[in-house]
Amino acid sequence: MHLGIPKRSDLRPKGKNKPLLPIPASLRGRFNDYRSKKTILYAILTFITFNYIIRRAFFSSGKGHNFNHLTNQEALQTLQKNHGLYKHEIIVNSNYIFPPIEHAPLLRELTLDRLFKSKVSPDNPQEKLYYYSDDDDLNDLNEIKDKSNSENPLDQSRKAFKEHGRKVFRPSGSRKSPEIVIVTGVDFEQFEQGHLTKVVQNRVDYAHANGYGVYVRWIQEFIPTLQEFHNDRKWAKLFILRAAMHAFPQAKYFWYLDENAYIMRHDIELYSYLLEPKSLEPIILRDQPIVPPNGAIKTYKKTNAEDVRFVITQTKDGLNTDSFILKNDIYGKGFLEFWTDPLMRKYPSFAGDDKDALMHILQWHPVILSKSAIIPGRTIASLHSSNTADEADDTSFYQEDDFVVNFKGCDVHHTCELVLDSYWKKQQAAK
Amino acid sequence: MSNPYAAHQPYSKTLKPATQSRFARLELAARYVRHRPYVLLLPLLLFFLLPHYHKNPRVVIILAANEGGGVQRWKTPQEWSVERSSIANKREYAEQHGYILSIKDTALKRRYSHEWREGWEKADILKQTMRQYPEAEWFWWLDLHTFIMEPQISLEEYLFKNLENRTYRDLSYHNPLHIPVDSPYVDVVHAPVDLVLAQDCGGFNLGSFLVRRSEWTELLLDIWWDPVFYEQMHMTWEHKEQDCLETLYRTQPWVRERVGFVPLRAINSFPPGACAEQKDDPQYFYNEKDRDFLVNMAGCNFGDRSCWNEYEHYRNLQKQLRKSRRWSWLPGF
Repeated sequence: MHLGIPKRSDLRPKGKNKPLLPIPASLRGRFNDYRSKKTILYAILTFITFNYIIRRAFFSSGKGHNFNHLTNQEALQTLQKNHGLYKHEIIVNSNYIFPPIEHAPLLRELTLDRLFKSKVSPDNPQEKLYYYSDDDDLNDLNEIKDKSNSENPLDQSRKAFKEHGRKVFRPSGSRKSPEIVIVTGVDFEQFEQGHLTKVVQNRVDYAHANGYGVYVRWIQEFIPTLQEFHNDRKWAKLFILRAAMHAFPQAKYFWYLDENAYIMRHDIELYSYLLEPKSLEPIILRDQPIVPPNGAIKTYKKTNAEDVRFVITQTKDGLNTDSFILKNDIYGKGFLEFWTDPLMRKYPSFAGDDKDALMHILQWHPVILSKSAIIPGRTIASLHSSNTADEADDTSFYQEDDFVVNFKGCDVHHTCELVLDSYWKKQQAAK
Repeated sequence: MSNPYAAHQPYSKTLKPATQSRFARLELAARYVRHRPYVLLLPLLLFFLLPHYHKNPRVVIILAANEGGGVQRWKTPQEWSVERSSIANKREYAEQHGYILSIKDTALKRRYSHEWREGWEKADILKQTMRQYPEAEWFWWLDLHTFIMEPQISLEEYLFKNLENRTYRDLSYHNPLHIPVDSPYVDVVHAPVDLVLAQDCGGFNLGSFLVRRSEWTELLLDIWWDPVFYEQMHMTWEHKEQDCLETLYRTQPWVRERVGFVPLRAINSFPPGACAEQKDDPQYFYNEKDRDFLVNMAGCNFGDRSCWNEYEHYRNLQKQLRKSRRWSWLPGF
């Protein structure tokens, strides 16, 4: 009779070798053999491995979690080449890209008819539409090259006109890209050679003194684009600026300075003068109405100088697009391309003046406004005034030792040449 | 030993214990593990659990619910059901991969009430969601009538890895809108991809697209709606914000530079019935064999299609596919 008293054989010490899971008594005999346990383990492992290999080998396409089977690998490899308005470009190694100004009278003699191909406008048979044609231009260039020995100055100037837009700066050897590039558009139909020479020489002298780059284009090069939506020639500055960003891809800042402005001080270094956050911070006009004098939308109260990508001044009529600075990054490019979008240029009330489109953009797009700074006029665009009464306003009109003078509106009275001459003489006398 | 002080040191200090076997510690560990094999499972467990919870979620899924909803008419029970399944589908997917699901109400609102302006609320919702989750990097916009068929696919693995080289950077391969393929001032070689888009038979499709938080995106969302553009084009832009994006892509090189196109079926397969004119073209339609990632039943509430029927169809199909994959997590199965 069993009384619950353990037998001697049951009193085994509970060793650490006790298996984790009890094996059913009926199977205990089979599993007792350590070797057979190992065999089963091996069998399972082998099965899994083979299964895995077979599946990888024969059903691999179904398992891969990607969409490579949907894409055309060849098409992925073909990437567009980065080019400007023209596909064939001329690489130059000079910081100063400007057209031969002595061609101005020749180009005027050639007229647009011989500088561009043209067709009759479908809307208005009286109007001629000029257009770009990259391939035709290349053929023309070769043709000119063939007979270049004739040294016909008209052919030479036509060739230079067609080649000029293709020039891009690429750093090579010891020549590094300039950090700041001054951009100007010049008009050979409006001004004489002597006047234009003074303008371009002024930019080059200033750039040379500070190690900047210069990018000057004929405004007439952009006539076909301006014609698309009957835009005023003022709009050409934006196309020139975009081309400059392509011509100097590594430059950090671009300063557009219109041909009706003149740099008076060559000793002022633009970055430390204005662009450095600690110089810009104190002069940003905060809470300033974009449409003077009391527009509803104002610049931000807390614009951070480090965020600023676009620096511009203001006159009493609105923003002054004769002189502004744009940073060369994704914001700068995006903003500029948005500003020149066909729908902006097409809009009837903007077609006459790029400034109106700009004021619209700043009032409707908070991100762009938060990256823009309006600064006092006399920093980069002191206005010229023939009226001494204006000089009482010491925030916008030119005074002795100002950096830049801007003869805004001189073209209305045809006084540009006279005014520039007076400042040119002033500068020469100071030397 | 050449230590000159060795001789002066007391005897007790020079006496060392018997040298242990070099592998004594290893043996100790091995013995420990042999008797407690379950400790091996612990790191394994951590390995499976950690990747999802140790970092801030990088991806936010934005689900546009209640599309066009409001007071104009009642929602039918079937519409409720579709909405519920759609949300459940995304919630499950987001939980599985550690993403955030953000459901946005796109009911008709007063501020968008001029004619066609509703579409652009996408931009506003994206801006708002980016502010809401300042840590997240990618934002995946999904329309309500989408269904993720393969929820085990993670976006990191499927899309974000090597993104620049796996997306089309221009329209040369597929160009239903006939947008000029070449554009001046486009530098795709150096630009990252900040917007992943697919094109259907009629052009860009904004039913399912991904944007990355970046300066580019900030600016694009800012200029997407502009009153001057809108005033001139709102009669022409039949698909509102979608047509507007196409226009921006066409005319502004900086936009073009950072758009990466994927085949429609990579993120946005269509059910038969959509793109009716090209119903024989396999590049648009869901393929069960290829296990396409997502179905977008766009336009299911038009014509003789039924959202609820289509939705139920794909829901059941996903169940079946999942059954056949029940053991797939085991290595070798």
